Order: sequence, then C-alpha cells, then structure tokens
Amino acid sequence: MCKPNLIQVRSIQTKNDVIQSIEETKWLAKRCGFEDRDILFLQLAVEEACTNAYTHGKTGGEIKICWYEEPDGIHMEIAQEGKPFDFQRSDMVNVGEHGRGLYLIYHFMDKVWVHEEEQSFQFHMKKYLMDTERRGGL
Amino acid sequence: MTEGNRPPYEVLGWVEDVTIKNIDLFRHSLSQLIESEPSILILDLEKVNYLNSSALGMIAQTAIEARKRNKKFIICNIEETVEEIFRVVKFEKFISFFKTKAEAIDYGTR
Repeated sequence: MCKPNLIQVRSIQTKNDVIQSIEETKWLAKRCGFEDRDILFLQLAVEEACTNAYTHGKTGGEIKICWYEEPDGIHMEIAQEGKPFDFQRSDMVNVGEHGRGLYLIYHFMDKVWVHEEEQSFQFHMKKYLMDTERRGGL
Repeated sequence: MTEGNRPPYEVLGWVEDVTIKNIDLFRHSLSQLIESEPSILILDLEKVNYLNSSALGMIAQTAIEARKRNKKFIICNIEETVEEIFRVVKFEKFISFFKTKAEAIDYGTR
C-alpha cells in the first residue's frame, strides 16, 4: 500500500522534459501497483497536461509536475504561471486537428480539478488503483 | 492491380507508440500517405498501444483530406488501448476501422 507522499518533482522547460515526465509516470505508476492499461492512460494524461502547460503557459514561466503516491492511487499536479487553458467539455464529434487533449484526460482520470491563484494555477489529476467503481468522480 | 502491377492502395505501417517524441515524423508520414497516388489509403497500427491527441488530430485531418480528394482512408490492426482511445474521441463516426490489413484492403477495393 502506498503512503500519501510527494515522490517526484520535475521542472518542464523543454520537450525532452515532457518525454522524461511520461517515462517517470510509467515507472511511478508501476511502483504504485497500477496495471499496464492504466499506466498507459496515466502516461497519456501526463503527456497531454504537460504539453498543454508547455504550449499555453506564460512564456518563460515556470512549469513543474509533482507526483504524489496516495493510499488509494496516484495524484499528479502540474503547476504553472499564467492563465488556465479552456476547460470546456463537449460531446460533439471533433473532426478538427486540435482540442482532444483535455477530453482524454477527463475520460481516463478519475478526478480532475484546478486550483487558481493570482498569477498561477495548478492542474490536478487523480487516478484510483481500482477505478471501476469510482469512475466519473468529477 | 493497377497498371505496372502497382496495388490500388498505399499502406503506412506504423509500429511504435506516437508521443511528443516522434510526432513530427508521424505527421510527415501521414502527409506522404495522403499525397500518394492510390485512392485507398491504409494506416496500419499494428504494435501501437498509445497515440497522443496531436496524433489523433493528424489522423482526423487525414481522414477529412482523403474525403475531399475522393480517397478512402482506412485504419487497421488496432490494439485494444488504441481502440479505447478512438472510441473516446468518437473516431468511429467518420473513420473506417478493420481488424486486419486484408479486411481493410478488401473493403477499400470493393
């Protein structure tokens, strides 16, 4: 059983940092006891959230990702300077090139929430170890 | 077969996950696929377990562009996780999927 604690922090400054974050998510999720399928979707959520922050964050602003092991799963926080991206959800079929990242995050994570401050915000995602009974926790 | 024994279809076989790491190559490969001569375009995703949202966007754009050019764009050999990702973004509403390449070719050449 995992204890609730901060297990890793990474600063996101380059594309390579996003790649490293995807790899670290795999390793940490495995350590927490997630199955391969869920690990893959955790990696996808981290890639999408980090890419969003990297793409839409304030130029030169700090972005960091923190991973927390919790007794019932894993919690990831992406903190950045600037304004949050658009959190609108839509059930329309999207045939365009953009706009699916957050949709995927909402689907594959059990909880997604945002904490805003004056000049920064944190994007939080949580995945439970056994998610079948808890899905739709938003 | 078309003249010169060239098949009437073009296959892009992609055999690794698509992430921020290789997304540019994926974009380039899809561009080459859409510009190829045949009217049946097949994206073979055997061994792919993961596609990021940028890859999904490029696939959607390829499907739309193929339609504009009166070409058929078909995806085959989809792993379970990719199928789930495609279902989430409702790709089945505007893209044809098949379990095997043979089925995709059969559908395309019908």
